[in-house]
Amino acid sequence: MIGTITIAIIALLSVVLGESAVLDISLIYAVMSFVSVIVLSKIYMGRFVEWESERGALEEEKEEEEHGA
Amino acid sequence: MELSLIRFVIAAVLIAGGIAVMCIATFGVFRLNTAMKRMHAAAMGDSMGIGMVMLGIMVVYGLSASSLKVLAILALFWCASPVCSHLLAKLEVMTNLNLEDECEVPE
Repeated sequence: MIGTITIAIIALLSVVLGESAVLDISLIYAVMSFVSVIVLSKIYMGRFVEWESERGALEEEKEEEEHGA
Repeated sequence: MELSLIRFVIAAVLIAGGIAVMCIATFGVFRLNTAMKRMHAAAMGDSMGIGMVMLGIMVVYGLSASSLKVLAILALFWCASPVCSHLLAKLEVMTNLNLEDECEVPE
């Protein structure tokens, strides 16, 4: 959402300043925000899968201890 | 930039409406409590808010290369935004362990 508002602000700035070259910045910003959301969500999903497997391994150890004791 | 009165009024109405929609979306994002609900509010700004602002800017620039650039920004953004929303929803369903309390999850 913050990225969307920034794109709109930069586009409005190009109208106010009268420079149409500023619109290229807004286009690059849109591409960057799209790519960053994809990369970050893939990183978080991978980290969550690792955390879940670690938690599963810990619970298995606890169960083995309880059965042994 | 010299604009006739009609073009100025149309562009002003479109841009002001777009800014109003974005303000409402921002307010919604801060007020709603769960991530899924916040996504509804943010998507409002992503679709109608930026659409109206960019249409207003296209009216100001008229028929020129700058209008094509603005159209390119809009097309790219409207294709990219649903993909991002889908990925974020998938992440939320995957990582939120208490999702059953907030909404129904079909198996």
